[in-house]
Amino acid sequence: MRRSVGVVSATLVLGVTARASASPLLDTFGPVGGNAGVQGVVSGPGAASTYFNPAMLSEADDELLLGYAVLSEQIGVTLDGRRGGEVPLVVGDRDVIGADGQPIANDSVPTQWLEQGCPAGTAAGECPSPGFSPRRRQRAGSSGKTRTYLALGIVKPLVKDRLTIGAYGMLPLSSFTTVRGFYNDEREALFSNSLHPELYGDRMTALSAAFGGAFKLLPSLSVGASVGLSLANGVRSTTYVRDTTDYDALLLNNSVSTQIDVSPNVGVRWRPDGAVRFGAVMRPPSSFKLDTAVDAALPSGTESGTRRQETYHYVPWRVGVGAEIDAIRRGRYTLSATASLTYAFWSTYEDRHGQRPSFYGADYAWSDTMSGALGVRHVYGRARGFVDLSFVPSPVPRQTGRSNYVDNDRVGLALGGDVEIQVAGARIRPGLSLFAQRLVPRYVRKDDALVRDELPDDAVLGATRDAVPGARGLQTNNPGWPGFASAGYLWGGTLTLSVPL
Amino acid sequence: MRPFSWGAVTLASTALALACVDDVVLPDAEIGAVCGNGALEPGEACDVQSPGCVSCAVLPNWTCRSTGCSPVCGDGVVGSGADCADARRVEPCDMSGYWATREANSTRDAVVGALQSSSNWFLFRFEQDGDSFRVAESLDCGVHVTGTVTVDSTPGTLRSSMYANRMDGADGTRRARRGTSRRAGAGCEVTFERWYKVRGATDAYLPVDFDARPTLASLPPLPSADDPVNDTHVPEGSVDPDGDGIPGTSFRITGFVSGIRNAAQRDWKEYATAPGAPAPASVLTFAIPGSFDLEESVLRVTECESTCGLIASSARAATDLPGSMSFSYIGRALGTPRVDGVVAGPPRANVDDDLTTCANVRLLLPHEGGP
Repeated sequence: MRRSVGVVSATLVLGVTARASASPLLDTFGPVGGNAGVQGVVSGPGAASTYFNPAMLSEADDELLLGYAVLSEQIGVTLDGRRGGEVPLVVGDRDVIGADGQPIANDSVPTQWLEQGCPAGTAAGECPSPGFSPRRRQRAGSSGKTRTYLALGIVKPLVKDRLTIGAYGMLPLSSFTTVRGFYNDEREALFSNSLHPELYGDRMTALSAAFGGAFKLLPSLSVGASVGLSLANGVRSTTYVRDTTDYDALLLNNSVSTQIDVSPNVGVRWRPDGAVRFGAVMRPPSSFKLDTAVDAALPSGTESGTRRQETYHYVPWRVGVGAEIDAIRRGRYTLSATASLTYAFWSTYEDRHGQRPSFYGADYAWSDTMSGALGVRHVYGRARGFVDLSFVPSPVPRQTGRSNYVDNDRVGLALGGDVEIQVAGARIRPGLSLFAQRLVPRYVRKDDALVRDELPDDAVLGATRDAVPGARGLQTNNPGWPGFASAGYLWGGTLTLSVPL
Repeated sequence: MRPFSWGAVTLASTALALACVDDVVLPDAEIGAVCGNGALEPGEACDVQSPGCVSCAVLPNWTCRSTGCSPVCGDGVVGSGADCADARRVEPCDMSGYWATREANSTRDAVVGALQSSSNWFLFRFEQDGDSFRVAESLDCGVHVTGTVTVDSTPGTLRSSMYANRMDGADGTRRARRGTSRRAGAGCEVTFERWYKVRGATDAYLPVDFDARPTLASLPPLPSADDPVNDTHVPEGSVDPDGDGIPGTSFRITGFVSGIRNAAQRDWKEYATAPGAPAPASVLTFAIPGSFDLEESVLRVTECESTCGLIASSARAATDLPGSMSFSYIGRALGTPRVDGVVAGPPRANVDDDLTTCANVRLLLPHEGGP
């Protein structure tokens, strides 16, 4: 076959498909409305029970729920100052050879380029136009976001004392269903050169909705099921790259599809007597998968392709149980104590690049977690209130090596209540709740021996076989090196209005 | 009724502000000077790759800047003061002595058509007689090409090409390469005659008479291979100067694509100051414009995996762009500090010495044209 040379053209085909059925937002935020606090598995039957324990719909008053919610992420990342470890400028010449005689990988750039950029030009020390833009450490951090949501819910008995259906959802009012990919190791230096909290950010923008129903098997026993509902997006982009050195000449066709995807929740509710209540729920894992296929062909006859699967909004299997007991009953006043536990199988976690944390070694695999909450409920006539304390441990082990998963234990306080009032003859139930969670400060200092050395000590210059200046010791652009700390808060609140149907 | 309290609003705003958390990057730690990292740090007199900078100390008779070091006074060079400021050659237009040179030309890579910047270094010793000079000794110190990809001589090529295409006339096959340098006003008119070279093929592919200045297209075609990716036969007329068992001279390609390219190459180059624009007189380093042409026939590609098809494409000269030849004066004779700091030994006497000399030559005139 005659090889075609001389004309610059290439074909690049991008194929992207996606599936979604995730609800990390609901799990992080907790139930909105009613008296559930953060323990929807056993407490405060209402529209939110559709997601948190659908069996409790059988005890919920019929209602239409409207809510306005605020969630603020204030998670600060503090990077230690670097102590040397610079990848030298000569690496930018792409003419450095390792001890095996092969050029070192192209996935590292001089540290100075990241901090100061590389100016465009043709002189020594300059880069081809338009140059290399600086990516200063942590300048593109993703902390400090405040988002608002619209909460909607409905509960309606279909068969009195037997079958009740419900719907519940939270709709982000901005940044709708975004995904943001990042690497959790030195590769991120080539992009944002920053660390990002792993379990927040774009995960808090997912559209989250559930539809379900409860069936009362016995006066004291109900079961329920619901489906978590989310949008699934599919994108297929086909591009024609005429010139691999000039992407302005790119020709592009996009095909976009949106579909509904579901994941089932099942729950059970048991009231052995009027003063004690139990609940349990099981939710399967869910995620937003993004498949990307890239195929490139050059007129010289060379073809190359790759396929990547990214994972967003991953939530693992979770099993929750809870108990609530009326401790004090005096006339119109009742005080109840509530406790719940949730076991989450975080050891199956896949990060945004579809990579298990155990990729970095067995010591860096995530752990399953057991989180819990304790609280009290007050009911006085038509007024209700709650106070909950919660603890959610982090599944992320100490990041002493290559990886930089940022996550913290959370200790939280939630309080709120609502009251039924009459307005123009109509009964309504306005409510207010507030919560704050402290992300317990965490610091890790990297072990240099476990961080990838991006320039081997025995590297030589390809042109002269001379030793590379500055190759001794560790050279790394890992944004988390030599150590980092994280801490912060999640805080928010809701204003709700429940209208009996 | 209790009046509305702005104090409560202020308190709430303050609480929210306190709840906001920012990212922080702590200052880099102060570390001691690291010799060899390319950065001039406290306690270092220099930190640059140069024969004049050893263990981050400047050797006698050298002066160093951030871009490199150069030898100072002595052996045909004078200056002012103890540090030999404003160093200059004693004889303004005399080319006699050792020179480091770099030929800078442009090529177009045949796959994407992008410009490549090429450097070819030489060590020369010239002997001047009147207005003419001739090459008395020479070493070809290798090539370095940057652009879409980076091209370097392999170690085998570096060793073998040092002595190929000799220009001193000592092998008796043709006379020495010549040039002229004469005073013109405040400067020097300099020419360096056209010279043909061949790599990876026998000398039979060179013109019989260089003075006839034939075009490359008029010469017999270079040895070729039908399929450099898969064909393993040895094309007639090719040679294996680097001893890697593969016909052609080998070059390592890195960057956008990577691999080893074995090729037969033929080129000519000539240089001359433009009329009315002489080179500055007396200076230690100057450049003159020139032109060149290049032919390449790729004979084999290896270690290239899926990109073999790309590096099997031949480069061609960008004849529409001017080339240049930079000259950096070293000194008149071996045995002087100026020359011995660069020239490790008599050229062609010891291969390892010559490799060291060539490495020093490349450091004196760094490649330009991007990484």
